[in-house]
Amino acid sequence: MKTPYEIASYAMEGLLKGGADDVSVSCYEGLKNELNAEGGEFSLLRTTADKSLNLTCIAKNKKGTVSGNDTTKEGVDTAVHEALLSSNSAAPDTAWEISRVPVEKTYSFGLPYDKEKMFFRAKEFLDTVKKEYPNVTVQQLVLSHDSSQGLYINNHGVRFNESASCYTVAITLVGRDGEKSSSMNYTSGLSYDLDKPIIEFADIGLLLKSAEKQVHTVPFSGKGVYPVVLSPKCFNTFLTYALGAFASGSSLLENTSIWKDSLNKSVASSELSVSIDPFNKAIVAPDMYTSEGYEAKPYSIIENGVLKHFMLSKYYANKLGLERAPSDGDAFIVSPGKQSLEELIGGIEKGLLVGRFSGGMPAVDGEFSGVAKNSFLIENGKVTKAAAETMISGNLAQVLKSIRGLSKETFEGGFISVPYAAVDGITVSS
Amino acid sequence: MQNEFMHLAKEYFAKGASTELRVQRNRTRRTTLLKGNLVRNIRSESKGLCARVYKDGMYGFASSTDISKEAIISAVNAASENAAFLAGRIQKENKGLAQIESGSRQKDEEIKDLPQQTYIDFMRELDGLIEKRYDRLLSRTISVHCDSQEKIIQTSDGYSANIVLPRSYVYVTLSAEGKDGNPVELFTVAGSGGTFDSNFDDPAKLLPKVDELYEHLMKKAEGVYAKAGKKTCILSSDLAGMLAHEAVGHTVEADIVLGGSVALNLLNKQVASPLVSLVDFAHTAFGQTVPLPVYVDDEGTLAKDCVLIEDGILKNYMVNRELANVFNMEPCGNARAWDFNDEPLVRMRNTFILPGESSLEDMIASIDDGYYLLSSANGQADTTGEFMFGITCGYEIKNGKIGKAILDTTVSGVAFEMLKTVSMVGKDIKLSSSGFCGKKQPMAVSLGGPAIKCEINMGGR
Repeated sequence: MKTPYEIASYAMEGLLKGGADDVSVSCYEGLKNELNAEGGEFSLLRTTADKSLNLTCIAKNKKGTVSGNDTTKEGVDTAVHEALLSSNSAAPDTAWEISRVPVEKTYSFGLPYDKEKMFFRAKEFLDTVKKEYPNVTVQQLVLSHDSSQGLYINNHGVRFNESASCYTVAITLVGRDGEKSSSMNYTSGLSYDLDKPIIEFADIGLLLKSAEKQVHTVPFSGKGVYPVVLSPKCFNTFLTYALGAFASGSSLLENTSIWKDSLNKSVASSELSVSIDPFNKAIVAPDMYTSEGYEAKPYSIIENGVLKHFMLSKYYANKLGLERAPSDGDAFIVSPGKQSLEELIGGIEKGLLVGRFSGGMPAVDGEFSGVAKNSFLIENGKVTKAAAETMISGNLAQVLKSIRGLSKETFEGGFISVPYAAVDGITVSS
Repeated sequence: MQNEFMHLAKEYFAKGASTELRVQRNRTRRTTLLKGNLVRNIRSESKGLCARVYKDGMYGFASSTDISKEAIISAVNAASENAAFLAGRIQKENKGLAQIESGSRQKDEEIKDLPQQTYIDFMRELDGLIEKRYDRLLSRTISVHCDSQEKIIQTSDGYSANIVLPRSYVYVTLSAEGKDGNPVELFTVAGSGGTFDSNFDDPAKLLPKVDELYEHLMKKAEGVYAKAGKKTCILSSDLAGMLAHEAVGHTVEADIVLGGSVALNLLNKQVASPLVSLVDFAHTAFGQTVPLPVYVDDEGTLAKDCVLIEDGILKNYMVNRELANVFNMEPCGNARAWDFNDEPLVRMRNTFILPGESSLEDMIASIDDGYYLLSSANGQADTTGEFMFGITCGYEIKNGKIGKAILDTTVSGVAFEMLKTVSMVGKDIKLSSSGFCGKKQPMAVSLGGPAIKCEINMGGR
């Protein structure tokens, strides 16, 4: 057994011989090459080879899942044995299901690893920061190239072959002035190539400019309810929390979702449309099939403020008597608005531009509170001084209903496409 | 775990360089029962070997899922080439690695890997007891989480060791309808370091803990919003532990210090009330083995305690061998890696605020208008020392007495300013070890402390 197909087929045969009714197997080989710098200095070059083998087995409506990285014959035999034992331990549940729609597709993304180019771009970035942003320290730079080849198969004629690779950059930085420093900030981005400098990835350039301004801050004066402009990543954080609490399978099965009776009803401002779309050009190396073996397809979660779809796997869909979501994941595509960021800010007399939200996990009813970090004051329609850390609170469901506007500009770091959002109804207390 | 190649490992080490070799297996077992439905039933495992080579001020690292003599040779060569690649292109001030003792340590226990049936049966029995016992629940979720690391470490100039680190936990989450019709939720966790069978034998033994959770939930269902602003609060042991880890611990990890942490300028200065002492323990504290003991770290350093704050004075950073030389400190065994293909990073181990002399009753009685904050779901800290914790369970304190429960909120502060406001430290300490610390890689850590009285910013309406 050498190829992922041979390994996966052998495992599937073992599971079926062991009495499984529904079986899926994915098997991948991966290679990571990763360059690390700490405190602005190179520190480590790392090369890791890995394998993965994931077995799902449903026997008499009882499901077990085993994953590992041992793809030797002995390793696969052990994994098959454990998967059968695990499923046998479970109670029967007729909601478990994998795709029975035969399909074979092959996907290929990305380019081979270019070691010299990766080093060149990383060094170029660190040199540029030292020269052009002398008051910024790059606490950590991680630039990696990840590649994987393999496939997913199940016993109902489903096969997805995949070869994918991309570069990932992740940075953490602070602004410095003598002994004073800004709050740290971080970002990441994905790209198939390194054709452009790292400073042009994601919002890295914006973070560098902001970090220098955020060393010296002023407090937000006057506790009250103010309009707030959420940065795209901050808005994405709020969306992730809200959709997890209100539109996920577990929240519906637990009966804690406040949107449980809101399908095809308005749950947000008519400005808001949120979808998952693996074919959107903003998404790098997307998931092309779901964990249950369905081909991934685009779908709308919220369309012009109306809830169109819950984010349900086939299991939760069966449990709840609803439709499954056509894709997994939370790579949100939020339709941009009609106004520029400048226009959104121009309409606010007093408020905050929130760069990052560091808060407690919102309550199941959407109540949240936390610290607005890397933020700026908005005064008389303009962004003025950097704001000292400020507590903000509100309710996620209300935030989505209180969107004043979304910006034309979007953040596209390779994993989402989300605009700035101006919202009302957030309590700001310094 | 194949050990047969490792006694020969030193033969394959890179010449003229410091080399570490590690063979490792991680196991995770997870099961979740949501309202009686088994929604998760997963066993996962990873194993492999890695080599890390330090030469001319640069590290090279390589790993493989194959565990064989050939894989060792290949990994050492690839790691050496990676270090040489960087060293050949970058001139960096090279302070070398701190000298450490050599020796060897054998493992203390064997991992007992249990079948899924054990976890599922335990959950089902507990779920049945909970379903019958409480009548106002909207939902109940029970999860079992067990993980373990087994490592064989060989180093060119430090300790060789055979390490086993298992831990196992049961989580119970309950939700109920609040007074405004919206749901409220709370969770609790039981367990510690050790395998599942050593921590749990009878689901009924968890009922007193679940009773306590239900009681808090019923009060939270009638809860009020906290009032925003700076308040006098008592942080429970759980929160004091989070403070120790998030707000202080991360700012004094030497790699974070090097990147611009506020602690860079605070060594040997007063950073907290003299009532506050904070230690990152290696393996033994208060005469007992800590929940997640570290005897030898992944650089081969024999582990010892690292005193971070003593009577309010910042005494040390946590370092690895390289940063020990940068900061002229002694490595204490803080270099830890999570998976076989992860490099060691500067990490905390068992980070505790030391107990004081006050009783919780006296602490509550001393506050006219404030809050008693009991539990948190998450926390985050900044290199500036700014921190926040999400509070999931807490109570008002009015005229020295516990008042109404509060709804979820967030507290924040600046660690080295807030610690100076500590005016009472409890005498009873509680330790927890169920969480993961996230810093490029996950890591199992334990944290703890006594209740402390302090001034802190409350979020709220």
